[in-house]
Amino acid sequence: MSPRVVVCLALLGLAGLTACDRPADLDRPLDAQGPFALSHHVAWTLAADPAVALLQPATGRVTFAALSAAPRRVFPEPAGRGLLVIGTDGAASWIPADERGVGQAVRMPLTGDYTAVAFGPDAGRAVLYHAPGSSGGVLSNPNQIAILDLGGGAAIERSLRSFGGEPLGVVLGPPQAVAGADRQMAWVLAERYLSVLDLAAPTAREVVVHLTLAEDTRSIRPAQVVFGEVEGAATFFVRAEGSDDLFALTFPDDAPADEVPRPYLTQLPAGAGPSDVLALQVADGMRVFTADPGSATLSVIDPVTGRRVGVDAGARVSHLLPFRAQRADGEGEGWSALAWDDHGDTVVFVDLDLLERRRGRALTPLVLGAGVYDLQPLPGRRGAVARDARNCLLLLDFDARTATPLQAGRSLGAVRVDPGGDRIYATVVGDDSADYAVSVDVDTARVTAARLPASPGRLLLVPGAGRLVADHQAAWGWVSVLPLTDLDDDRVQVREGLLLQGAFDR
Amino acid sequence: MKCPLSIFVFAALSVSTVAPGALAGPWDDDPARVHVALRSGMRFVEDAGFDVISEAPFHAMGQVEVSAGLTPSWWLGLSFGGGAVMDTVHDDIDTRFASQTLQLYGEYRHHLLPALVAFGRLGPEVSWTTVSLDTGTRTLEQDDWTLGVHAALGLEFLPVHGSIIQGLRDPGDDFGFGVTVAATYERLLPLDLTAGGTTLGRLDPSGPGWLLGMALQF
Repeated sequence: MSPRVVVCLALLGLAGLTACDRPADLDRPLDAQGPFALSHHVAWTLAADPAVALLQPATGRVTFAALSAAPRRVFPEPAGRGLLVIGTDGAASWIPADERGVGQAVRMPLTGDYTAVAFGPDAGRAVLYHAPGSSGGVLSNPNQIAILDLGGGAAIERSLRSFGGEPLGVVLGPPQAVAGADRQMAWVLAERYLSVLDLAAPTAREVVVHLTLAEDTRSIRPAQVVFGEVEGAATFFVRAEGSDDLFALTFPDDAPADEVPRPYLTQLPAGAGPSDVLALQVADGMRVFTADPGSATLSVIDPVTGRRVGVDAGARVSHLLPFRAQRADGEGEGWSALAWDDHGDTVVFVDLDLLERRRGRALTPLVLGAGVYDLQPLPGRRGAVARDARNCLLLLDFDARTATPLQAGRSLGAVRVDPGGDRIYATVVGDDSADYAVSVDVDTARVTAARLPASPGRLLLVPGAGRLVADHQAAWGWVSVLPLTDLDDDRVQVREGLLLQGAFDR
Repeated sequence: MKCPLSIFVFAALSVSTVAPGALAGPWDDDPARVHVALRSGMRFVEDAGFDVISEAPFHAMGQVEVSAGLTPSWWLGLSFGGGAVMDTVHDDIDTRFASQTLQLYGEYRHHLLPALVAFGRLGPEVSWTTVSLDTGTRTLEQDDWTLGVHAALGLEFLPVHGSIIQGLRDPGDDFGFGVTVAATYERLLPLDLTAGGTTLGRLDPSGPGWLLGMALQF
């Protein structure tokens, strides 16, 4: 071999090595979305090399599960049972998650560009739809929806009949026997009407229920659907903004399983512009309760007779939080509720069993030092936590009828409640301008705190892992992991660069 | 394809002496005893994980070396060098790889011609390596020592040599100044990269390379 050939080959070899290009995913932005709290993990989606990244906060283990396309939108299931990811390829992928990690993605091709989702209570089905005002592109149909069978991996897209409106929201009921068949009812809320679907028969033509007369130009916007059982019949109570009436929908005893049963519509008087509704079986039978903030009135409605009893609440009330408690007449345990208004300085304890008969004497007001908001119940307890205008965390004890304020140093951030209701976690900026995570023992109101390395953008509760995760919003994942117990600085585990875990082990 | 920004590092040091030994050739009335070289070049990193650091699988390097002749053919040397590359990954994360390396080597030098020397060398090395990733507001960085061995084969052409330039010095004197080129290979223990409590993975910086520079012997 001549020296010239050797030199040429050497140059070619060097040129070849130099020209080696790295994988394209390393040149794309990570473009992480998240973190999302799942039951046992914290999850991100990554666009660069499409994947779901999972952090098991108890063990610190990070795993990746590949996606078929870069995620465009991600919807975590509210109970943390999985992620619904809509990819740039237009398909929806349901990624179930449990304590072992994520399972095999269930891929469902779609044609619509949906921007919102409603999950069923059991996460078996979901409905994708266009959130109000979110339709775009060249020419889109905001009334197109997709009914997803998450377990079976089937998606059915269809366009709902419209009367000039578009979905304001979608509410899914639980799978239950309705009109002689196992069904899962879904309610697509639109201005002046709602569409009723049976997700167990996803191709069946929807039934449209008009909430106004044809010539009525009022703006009636259905906002809440509450399930109840009246004389053995499944009944759905629909509250609508702009209406003083409550709409009760019941179904016939029997209807073909492959059709959506046509509901009967009854209008119940509900006061003046109710803002919350409860349907509960109390001592006198099924009753519907509404809170009317405009008139500071609580209403008790008998859904059978349509009789309404209005009770002056003594303070503006717009929300009702039901809980079980001993009845004031000593007749055992019954239903009570906490009634309150956003930023109101008075909450009212209501004995729902006795409200119809005793009226004002069934109410116990509690005047607070400042307006409360962001009230969350404590699961399994007769209590709640709220924030107030004084920058306090307020512990409400429904039994003792007390409100214990816990003053935050400089500002109070996110508040999360332990699933057992025993503890409350929050982020606080202290007087020293440092960021802290705090844990409040509900029984003793004892506060422990741990200093965080940076400001937390989100506070995620991962109950299955027994951990609290504060996200510090770095492009490559930066979190503080804390135990669901008393906190101190030594218990903060900081992890940074999570989304680059194993990046060099290509 | 973006070009990585490369850094060349040079320095110079050392003195050594050698006891007069047996002469290796007719031009070696006065064989060289000290050899100094400055070289720069590239190292091609074999590990695919280097893709995270750089768009191209190599980094620039430079070194200065000093060796002493134990005999006209067998030499012992020490070199100090460095290499670095800066680039980006995932569009907006700045990356940096830098290493400082100290090499000890034994070298065999053979005069193909009075002014043309072929050499081969082998020896251990120790390297201080830094890998960093930077978002602009946050940095993940790890420094660590790693050990390894290196080998090289090369040629030196010394146009400034008594055998070529008459009157420079005695033609039998081995004083020379010229260019040097070498093909290298470094085998290093891999680095376990852990930063911010996260295991980023294992990077093996081993690989072949080439060096080109100037040499002086006297």
